[in-house]
Amino acid sequence: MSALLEVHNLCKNYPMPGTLLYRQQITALYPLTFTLERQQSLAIIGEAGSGKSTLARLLAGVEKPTSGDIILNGYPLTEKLQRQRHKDIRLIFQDAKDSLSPGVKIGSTLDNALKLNTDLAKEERIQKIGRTLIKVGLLPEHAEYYPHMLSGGQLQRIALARALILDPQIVILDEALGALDPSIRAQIVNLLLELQESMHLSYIIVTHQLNLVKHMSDNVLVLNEGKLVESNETNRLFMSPTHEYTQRMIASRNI
Amino acid sequence: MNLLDVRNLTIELPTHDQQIIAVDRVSMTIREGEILGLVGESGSGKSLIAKAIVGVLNNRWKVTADRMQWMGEDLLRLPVEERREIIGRDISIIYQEPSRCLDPTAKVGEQLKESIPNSILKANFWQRRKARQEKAEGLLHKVGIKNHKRVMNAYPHELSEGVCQKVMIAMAIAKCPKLIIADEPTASLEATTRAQIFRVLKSLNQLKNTSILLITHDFEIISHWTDHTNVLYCGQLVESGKTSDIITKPFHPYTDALITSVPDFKEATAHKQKLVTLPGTIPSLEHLPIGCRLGPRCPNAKRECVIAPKMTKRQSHSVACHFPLNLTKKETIT
Repeated sequence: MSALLEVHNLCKNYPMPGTLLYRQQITALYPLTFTLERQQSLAIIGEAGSGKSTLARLLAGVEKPTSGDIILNGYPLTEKLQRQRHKDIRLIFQDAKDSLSPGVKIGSTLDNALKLNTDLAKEERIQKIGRTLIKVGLLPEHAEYYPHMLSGGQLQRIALARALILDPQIVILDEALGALDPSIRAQIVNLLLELQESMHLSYIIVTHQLNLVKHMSDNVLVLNEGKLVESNETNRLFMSPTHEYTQRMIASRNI
Repeated sequence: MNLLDVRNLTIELPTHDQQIIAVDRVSMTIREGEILGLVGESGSGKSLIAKAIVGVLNNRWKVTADRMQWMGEDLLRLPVEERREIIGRDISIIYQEPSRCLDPTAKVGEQLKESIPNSILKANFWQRRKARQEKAEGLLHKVGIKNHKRVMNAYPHELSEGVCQKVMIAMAIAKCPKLIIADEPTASLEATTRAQIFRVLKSLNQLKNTSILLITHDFEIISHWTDHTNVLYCGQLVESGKTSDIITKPFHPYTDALITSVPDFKEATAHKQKLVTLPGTIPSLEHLPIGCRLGPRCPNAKRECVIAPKMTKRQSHSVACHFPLNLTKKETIT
């Protein structure tokens, strides 16, 4: 059986402003190849500007790659499969508060995701919302709440519910744990690990918190200035980093 | 010698139907040349305390304290002018979002030069301009910025967050303060830049004997850089003492939960193992529980916990809890 997600020579250039006809380009991400198995977690680490967020956005389909293929379940993702992709790959952003619309009830936020991507009837949608909210540790009644009535940790759970409501295969966490308080963060980490077990999810974790990477991920990609400098199993990478850049990063973990 | 001595600092916000007590009788002392940590989650009032010390809180907040002495002078009982003079001379504060705290319309160099007081430039008035420029360059070198020309001619948005934070530190140390209050100085920074910032602060502490009040929510930072630590939960001080004591033998269940919630920090955690957490979330200021504010989330809460526990001391390690952890039968807290 082929891997859940295969990425071949994915690459992204941005036109450089200020040059004649935007002919010069900045390479945000040099060609990159990796695979992700089912129920595994892949961590992407690197400094600011290393292209890790760009990679997350490319995978989620927020931006189009300059070249390269993303293959999900053996099928290359093209324009035609866009809808399937939105269902299967879901993205969670760093700041849950900013990513939820303040004037829309939690229920409608979740309902919109269903309306746009599925053909469920109204009753089914309401049931599904209730089930998903319970799954992330909230109550169905929370659907009637507005975002400002919930705390940061609960909002992050809502963001997670919005990702999970379409039964995805891959969830991308773009710095999603960075802004949380430590005791809440541990709760969310536990929740994520539980859901990985029960729903056979794969995670792509983009972060700069190395102890979480070590705890949660199976494989790690290290990016530096858009280039892949190292990729390995988590344990091996932390035990014996080969590239100098990774060594420096791991050393600064134990300041 | 005690630099800053705060006793029972209470910060209240009067609203139309109730009095919200955001910070409830917090006491702390900062000695000369010490790095004191203040740990707490969001909403625990740690930034409020920092702002109350330097007196920049909005007028709506009511700040009371039994005493708030800065080298023997009670700051709260001084006239505003005098207080401002003392604070302006001796205390600097570094805020958590540097790019938002710098003036976006002025060049970094101008802002830096503005923060250098005349009194430390040992020069006549016609030499001041040059002396100030040199001093500013020197400050940037001190915080680890080599390319001073580029940085001084840049606007804050052109610089990265790490460089902005270094500029903030340069501004803070320009007047050679006795105390630096660092309010989450590295919240938005990468691991490598974070280490650099702390190295700069540590060297200041060692070379100039500057005291530092380090406010953060990250126990890892606290364990590496501080001598003493105060742990704050929802505006109540729950534990204070030597950092090494607190980490090896936390008395309060909250401190214990904070320490064990970090994977691989105190003891090795297995891969993908469940982390220890407290149930529930941090209560909002309007709905604070009575008594010990950890009560509803605490794993060993009992009936006594509806009465707020007093700070009790054992050697130099004090805790506010009716049922402290990690005590053998013999060692009862007195």
